[in-house]
Amino acid sequence: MVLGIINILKSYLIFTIITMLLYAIRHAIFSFNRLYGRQKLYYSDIYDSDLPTISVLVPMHNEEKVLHNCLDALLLSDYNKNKFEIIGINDNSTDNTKEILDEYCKQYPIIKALHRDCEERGKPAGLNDALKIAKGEVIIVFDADYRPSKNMLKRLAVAFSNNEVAAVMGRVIPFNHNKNLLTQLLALERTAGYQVDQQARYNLNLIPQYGGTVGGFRKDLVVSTGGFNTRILAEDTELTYRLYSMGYRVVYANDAECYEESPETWSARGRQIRRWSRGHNYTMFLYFGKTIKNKSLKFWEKVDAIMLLLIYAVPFILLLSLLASLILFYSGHMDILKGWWVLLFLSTYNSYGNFAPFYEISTGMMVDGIYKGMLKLPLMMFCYYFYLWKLSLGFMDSIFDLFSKRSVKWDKTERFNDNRIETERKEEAK
Amino acid sequence: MKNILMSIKIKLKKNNFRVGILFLVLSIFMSKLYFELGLINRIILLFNIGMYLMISGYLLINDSLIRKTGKSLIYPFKIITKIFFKKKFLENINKLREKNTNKSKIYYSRTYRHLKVNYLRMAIFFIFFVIPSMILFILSYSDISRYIVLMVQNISANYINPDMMEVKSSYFLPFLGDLYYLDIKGFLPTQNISLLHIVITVVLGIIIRFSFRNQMHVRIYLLVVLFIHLTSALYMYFGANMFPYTLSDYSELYMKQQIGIWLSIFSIVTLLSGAINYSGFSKFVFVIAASIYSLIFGIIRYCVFLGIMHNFSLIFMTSFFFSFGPFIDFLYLVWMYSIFMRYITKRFNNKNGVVKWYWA
Repeated sequence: MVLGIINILKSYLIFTIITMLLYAIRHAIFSFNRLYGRQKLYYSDIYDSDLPTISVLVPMHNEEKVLHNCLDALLLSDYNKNKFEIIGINDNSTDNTKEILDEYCKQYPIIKALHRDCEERGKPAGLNDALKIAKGEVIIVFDADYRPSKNMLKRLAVAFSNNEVAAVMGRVIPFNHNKNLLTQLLALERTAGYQVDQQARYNLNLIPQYGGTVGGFRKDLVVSTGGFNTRILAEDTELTYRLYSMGYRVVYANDAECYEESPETWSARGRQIRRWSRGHNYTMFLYFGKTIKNKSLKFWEKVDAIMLLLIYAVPFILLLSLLASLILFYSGHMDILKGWWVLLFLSTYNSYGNFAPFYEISTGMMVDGIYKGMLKLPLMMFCYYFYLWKLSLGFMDSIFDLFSKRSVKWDKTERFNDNRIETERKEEAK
Repeated sequence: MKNILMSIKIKLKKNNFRVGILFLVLSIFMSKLYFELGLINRIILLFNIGMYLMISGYLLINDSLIRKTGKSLIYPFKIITKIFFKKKFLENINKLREKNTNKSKIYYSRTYRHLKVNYLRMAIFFIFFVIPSMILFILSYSDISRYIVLMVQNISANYINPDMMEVKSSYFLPFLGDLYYLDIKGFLPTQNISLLHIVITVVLGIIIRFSFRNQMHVRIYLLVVLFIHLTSALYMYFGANMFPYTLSDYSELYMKQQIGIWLSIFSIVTLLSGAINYSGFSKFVFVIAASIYSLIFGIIRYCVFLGIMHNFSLIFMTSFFFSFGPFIDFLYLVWMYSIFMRYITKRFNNKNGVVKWYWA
């Protein structure tokens, strides 16, 4: 009996090592491809005079600190004003979001307000309501803390000239990266996540992911498949997999760069990633089988889709392996592979130090030409256990959601509103 | 192929002196190991030294020729290319060279730029540097472990009774010799000591739980470290006699683990630096510095861990294994890698480096 348990634990440890190595190899391939491979260009060189009508949705919940940044930026857009509308979704806000949004609506007819005062709150529910009144053929979503550039809407909308494209995703860059250590580390992660990970997946014809903001999708496709599932917190991941299961493709626009506000406190970041993990893992439970059976995906697309689905389950696997290795240690069996079990920790840090391993981050920084933050890479070590814990909690939440059928509650990320950019602009104007 | 030939010529001209000296130093350093090795190892070593001396001699002569005449030994390459390649191909090389030198001053933006891969350079790096070094290490790990253990024995004699230490060896990898480790006496903690550790760990845990309010990442890290130590303290309190390891077992496992770490660090470092298409001296410096640091750090940690466990009981073994083991090794690896990549990134963004980027 005891020997059986020991063997199971040893097998589990080896399984973890193999899993980690697979992820390490995956990220190494992405890094190599991004640094040396041929880059697949987005539709950036195409100038289409007949761009589709678009509805820009801006979900808001207590966004009084940042709302004006996003709306002001959208109003400066060079998109044909007869072809786009902005819908601000005020989702049960308790601060002055409603008043500010109404004020904008009065001043600018292009902006419409959708005030939601109901029990079912959250981004997917808000988007579903907005889809009912949206007139555009294409829906583009920005979170309220984002600051799209003047030509952002054109850059995103042009992709839909291709009928096979069902969704598009732009690049996210934190503007408050110099605020503190956390925002600096998040900027590193973002660099790897978009400049390397998303672009390499697009290069290799794998699965670029629609990220829920700085991106768009065809309205008719989403509406015809029942809109967004309000029980899923990661509506972006769910939409990506839904579109792929229908045989459509998501494209990644690396040159459609948009600034966002990163969380500035560890507690806000902790809540954010726990929510992501919960939503992503719930999607994983729903789509794991469907992805394996999906005939429209090629072999490597399928492999990448499965690895992407499992990415938020990895910290939980690691946490269990840490416990397993403790048990094996106390039972006198830690000499597994003659002390080479070290590979577990090496590959762990390699492949899941954080959302991206260190070599992927450095590749992204090299391509971006950023070297000042490079020395902060070792500090990612502190994030390792933090993410391990928070993402594992998110995984447990998703299991509970799956079996209990409890309704999910949207835990909004706290906003901080760094006004330095506005202040600098005003000073420059003076 | 055309890039390869061109880059070999340009880069060797710039760096041959520095790389030549490096190979010379390496061959001198390696020759010191000759009398300590067995017959097979000696043959391998001589082969390596010969190869290093040849490379070194070639590069140094080449360097002096360039300085005096402006021409280099790499010139025969041109004759070879003329024999083996068509005229059109050579014209293309010249065009490529012109393109590089007369490039527009508006450089490519970050969005879709990338570098050209140079497989030959990577192959040369791996064949002439990585593989011989790894083979040498694998063939010599038995001797290396013996030296380390003797060194640790000497250092530890300052705070451990020399009569309580003995150098022993155990079977490790087939045909490659035994692994040496320090056999040393340790002791299990008493129940009172274990209880004291439990209390201190719990109190510290409570304090940390309610401190670091704005530094949750530090809090979680410290709590994990404390949790691991708490499991050890609890185990020792309730079942110290069932603890499956002696200090000697730990010492043996540590050396086995270190061999794994050194090999892993060396392979990771060479893979990481080898994948970077940059033929500078920095690549060798990075690999050698990381390997030497790893070796020195491993030795110091061996001394410290053995000293603490010998003098303050085996209760610390779990923490040393899980919290301050390979996890810390990777910390300095990433730190060194970040310094290396910072340097490389700077180089690829300065006046000479920025022209090396290609578009899409």
